[in-house]
Amino acid sequence: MSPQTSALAAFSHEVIGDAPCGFLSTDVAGKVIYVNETLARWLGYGDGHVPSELSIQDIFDKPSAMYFDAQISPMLWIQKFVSEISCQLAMRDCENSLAVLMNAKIRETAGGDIERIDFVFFDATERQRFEKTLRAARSESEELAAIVKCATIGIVRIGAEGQLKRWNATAERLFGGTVRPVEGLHIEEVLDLDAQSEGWFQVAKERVGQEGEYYCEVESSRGNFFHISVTEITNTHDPFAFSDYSIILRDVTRRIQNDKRLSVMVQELNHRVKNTFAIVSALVRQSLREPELQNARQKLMDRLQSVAASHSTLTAHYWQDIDISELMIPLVAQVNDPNRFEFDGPRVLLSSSQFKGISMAFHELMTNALKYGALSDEHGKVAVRWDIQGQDKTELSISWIESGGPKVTVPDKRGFGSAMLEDMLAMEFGGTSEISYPPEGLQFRFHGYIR
Amino acid sequence: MDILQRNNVKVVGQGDRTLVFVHGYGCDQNMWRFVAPAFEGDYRIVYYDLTGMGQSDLNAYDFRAYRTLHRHAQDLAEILAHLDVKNCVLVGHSVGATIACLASIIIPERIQGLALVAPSPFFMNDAAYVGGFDRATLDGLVELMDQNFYGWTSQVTPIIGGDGAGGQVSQELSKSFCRTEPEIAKHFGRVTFLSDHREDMKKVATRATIIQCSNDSLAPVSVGDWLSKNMKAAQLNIIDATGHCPHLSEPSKTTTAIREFLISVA
Repeated sequence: MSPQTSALAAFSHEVIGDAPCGFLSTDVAGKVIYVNETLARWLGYGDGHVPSELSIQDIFDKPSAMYFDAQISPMLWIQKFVSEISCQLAMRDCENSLAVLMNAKIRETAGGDIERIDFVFFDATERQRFEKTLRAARSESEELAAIVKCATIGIVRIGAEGQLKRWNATAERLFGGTVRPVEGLHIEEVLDLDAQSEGWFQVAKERVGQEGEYYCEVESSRGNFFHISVTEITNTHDPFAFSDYSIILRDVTRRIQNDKRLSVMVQELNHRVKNTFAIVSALVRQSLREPELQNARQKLMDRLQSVAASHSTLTAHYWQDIDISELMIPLVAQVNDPNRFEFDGPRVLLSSSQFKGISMAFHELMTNALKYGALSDEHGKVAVRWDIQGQDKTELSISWIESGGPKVTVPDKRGFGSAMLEDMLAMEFGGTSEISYPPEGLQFRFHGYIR
Repeated sequence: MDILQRNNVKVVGQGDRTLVFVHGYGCDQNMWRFVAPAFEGDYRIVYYDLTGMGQSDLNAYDFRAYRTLHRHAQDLAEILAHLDVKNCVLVGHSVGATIACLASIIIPERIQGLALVAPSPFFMNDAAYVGGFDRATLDGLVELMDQNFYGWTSQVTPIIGGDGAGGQVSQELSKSFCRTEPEIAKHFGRVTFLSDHREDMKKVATRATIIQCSNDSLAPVSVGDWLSKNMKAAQLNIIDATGHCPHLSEPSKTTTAIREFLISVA
């Protein structure tokens, strides 16, 4: 070997064998016929030599081998080359695989037969890691964007001066004005509200500045109703830029119309029920005229009144759940000195039927207290306490304790009032109640379950 | 847009009988360029691109409708009806073979035979069925597809090739071959490699040949075996070929296998 030849051999060994990339060639069937030392090392053959029966599929990890067969190989056959394919090489005796970019080219003879397929591999570990992060970020933002795009509420991004930046399809539908929304137009130009709402965005901005968010319900010039909420989007990239704003638009026309309809219906119903109570009261007055029935008549009238009152309270709340403390208002009103009627307990929401049950019970207790009990003289007091317990906070206990009034004697028979107290509460609350008559004052205790 | 435009349908050649070529995953009707011309002298040849692939109308790819291969089979049935093709032989590769089989269930009266090149009804191993791959590998494949469609490579070089390949392949060619809209390719890749059509295969009554490569890791011989046992009228024909695309790597062996089948069903 001449000095020149050996220098050339050393040079080509360095340039090709020990190149900073992997070289590999196969025959037409995919059998490996050459691997440079760099690639052999990457594949886990430290001595730079690979086994003779290696095929191109063997150098990839499983998914990449499948990908090669499914996607890359057809492309290679048709185009005669592929470039910059991202894939993974299997590393012998090692769980890990090596991320690479691959180029390949089919070499043909002068006659057009395939002679060889040459492959080049570049280490792409860092690049693939970076791409993975990018893809994850992109996939997250695409998913969020899809939510916004498909949302059935209008979502709009506007600049600090109210100029439109981006909006979804629902927003475009809701804008409804004659002005076609284009970037840069003022939100009040495209969102067609009635004259009363003029300047709403300025108001919204000020309120967002003070309270962090702003919402309102406004009417459009077409008679639609919108719920608009506005929040600030801080510009994280530019410290000198003004904030943008995000606007959520909801068409609440149907809800507002339903509310109005419901309100009219409730008023009408209340009116009719009140009339019915008035008629029943008149019937009672006329039917029970005899002097010996006067006591009974008054009792019945009072009870009817109490039912009518709790009905009114329920109506005022649209027959929704009501806080138990609402029951105290009519009771306190019947005492000349509010200090003589104390009550305390946490907020407890009752269903309308339980509310009615308890209100009847309190009516009976109050009537008794005013007539015979602690409130029948100038000194006595009533203390009402309630509490909820249990894991799911459904065990309700109530106590009604009278003190300081006239000395109490145990009644000789169970009256209608106490019967109703116990029966009605047991029915509505599935609980137990107990009335006792110590000399210092009547005591009523009740324990049941909220539904 | 009519059906022929939608699927970039090309009708060439002449003959009393019609051959319809259905390409598989990863490319378009160009996949048949080494095999199909051999039949143009004796047969009327129909080529088309699956909806969403090649030069088909990408807007027609409704992601919900095409989440199963049945919609693709419906497309094929529509094309055959539109051309009023009778007694044809469908030549399908890989997932295209599955589509051809599904079409034969919808319109058996138009289809005389099925030449299935490297078919696989399900790529996953499942109890006694050896599809070739475990779930983790298929997930890895899907991940790799995403990587290549969405990674740096497709960002910076939207067209694979260019001058880097040595110049003999023009840019125009590389543009049209095997390139498609990434979202669709990703979707179709999942449909292709994760769908299980074994039960459908059992319903196929049309005469079929399974052109099975002797060394195909994507559709191993075990799959061809399973098909020949479970399809009603299918015969296994193992050809000496490596890889999943014998119509590209071994065109003459593939052509012979198709020709033998055409004679047997004539």
